[in-house]
Amino acid sequence: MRYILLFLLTLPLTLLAYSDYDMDGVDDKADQCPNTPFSDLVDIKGCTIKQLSSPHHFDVILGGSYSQVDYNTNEKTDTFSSSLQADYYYKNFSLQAVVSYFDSESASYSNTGLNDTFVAGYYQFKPLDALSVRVGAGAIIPTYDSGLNNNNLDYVGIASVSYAFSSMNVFGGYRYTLVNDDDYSYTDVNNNPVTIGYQNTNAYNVGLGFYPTQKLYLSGSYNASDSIYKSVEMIESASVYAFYNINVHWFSTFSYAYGLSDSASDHYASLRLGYYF
Amino acid sequence: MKTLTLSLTTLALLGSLTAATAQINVDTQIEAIQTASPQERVELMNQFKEQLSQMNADERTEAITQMRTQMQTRAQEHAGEGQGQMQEGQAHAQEIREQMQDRAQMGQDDNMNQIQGMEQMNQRHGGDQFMHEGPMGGDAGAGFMGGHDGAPHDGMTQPDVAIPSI
Repeated sequence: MRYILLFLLTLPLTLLAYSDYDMDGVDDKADQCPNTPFSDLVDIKGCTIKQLSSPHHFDVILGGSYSQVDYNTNEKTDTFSSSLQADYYYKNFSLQAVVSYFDSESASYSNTGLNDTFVAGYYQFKPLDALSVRVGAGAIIPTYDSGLNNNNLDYVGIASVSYAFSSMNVFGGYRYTLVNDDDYSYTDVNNNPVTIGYQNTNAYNVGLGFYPTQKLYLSGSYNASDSIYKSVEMIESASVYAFYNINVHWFSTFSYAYGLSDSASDHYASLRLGYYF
Repeated sequence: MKTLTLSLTTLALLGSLTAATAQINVDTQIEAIQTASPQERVELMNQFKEQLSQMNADERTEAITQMRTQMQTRAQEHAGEGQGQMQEGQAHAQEIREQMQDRAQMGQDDNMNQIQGMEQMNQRHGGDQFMHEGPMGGDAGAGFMGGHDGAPHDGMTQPDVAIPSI
């Protein structure tokens, strides 16, 4: 009788002693899927049997940006752009489309219109808990009306990695653009033939980010890219970036880049507001 | 007027009653989850999640916060034995944090693409501007885009066909 009473007294404490990291009701010791999302229903082994939340998500991002360029061969130019980005997410896959409209002004030259349009698809995976890899492929649609033969679809390959530790992360990215535009030829005032040649570009960035609060992410990075023109030096810039999660749906981003080479924009600032659902 | 006051009072009472009932239901469910056997616990947890999915955002947040609070209280009461329950309460917060971090990371990637795309577009704009200000508009200096006046191609790769000083 004494043993039965002792058993009954210790039973509740025994039940309370279990550990359940993913909050699915299955003790971690017996949980064969220890990291199931909270929105998943699970079986006795702790593995997903049904997803309650839709695997389909979207976001729409509106943005405005300003850039000032002062190439040695051109007048100083201010460019204002507005952009609209839409993303579709399905599990680890995502699709993206970005359109933007620009207004460039210098002392004696002005130009307005659509920039090139960008569409891409991405796949994200995590080989390790702390390591995130995202790869993608896209196309640049020549919606910018140029006098320099911007007439063909360009193709883009993108890869980025991020390694998180504590409340920080290091990241890096690479982007290759296959520029298919035809070289542009003309005859100068002395009747000499001149050709402006396009080239494929390699671009990369490296940076460090951290999360000062749960809603805020800040980062700094170095960016470098080939020019699309064969004759032009590498474009280099240093940038800072902020992502603020306003609530479960709304978020905003701010970015500033400072040009480190003559071929880069001297200053670039961008503010965007997004809605995720 | 009296009828209107009566109706508003009835509505207020019904609202309070509904909120109180929901509170009791969540309380009851959490209590049941905490004391259930392993098999029942999984079933009850699934039911609780299904119920959460039917709630609006505010109700869901309230219910999850309540569960977290109760789990943490229990864990503190049984410190040393109930440490796992402290984790339990933190798991959902961790999940939300990871989602936010994923989105921030994707935003960071987008930012890289934006900056590189913007620079390429500015080069295209600059190319057109150069053609306008240079061959058509007079002396635009030596080199094409990013070169240095008087020092063509300084620091640059040589083009296949050199673009002359204009």
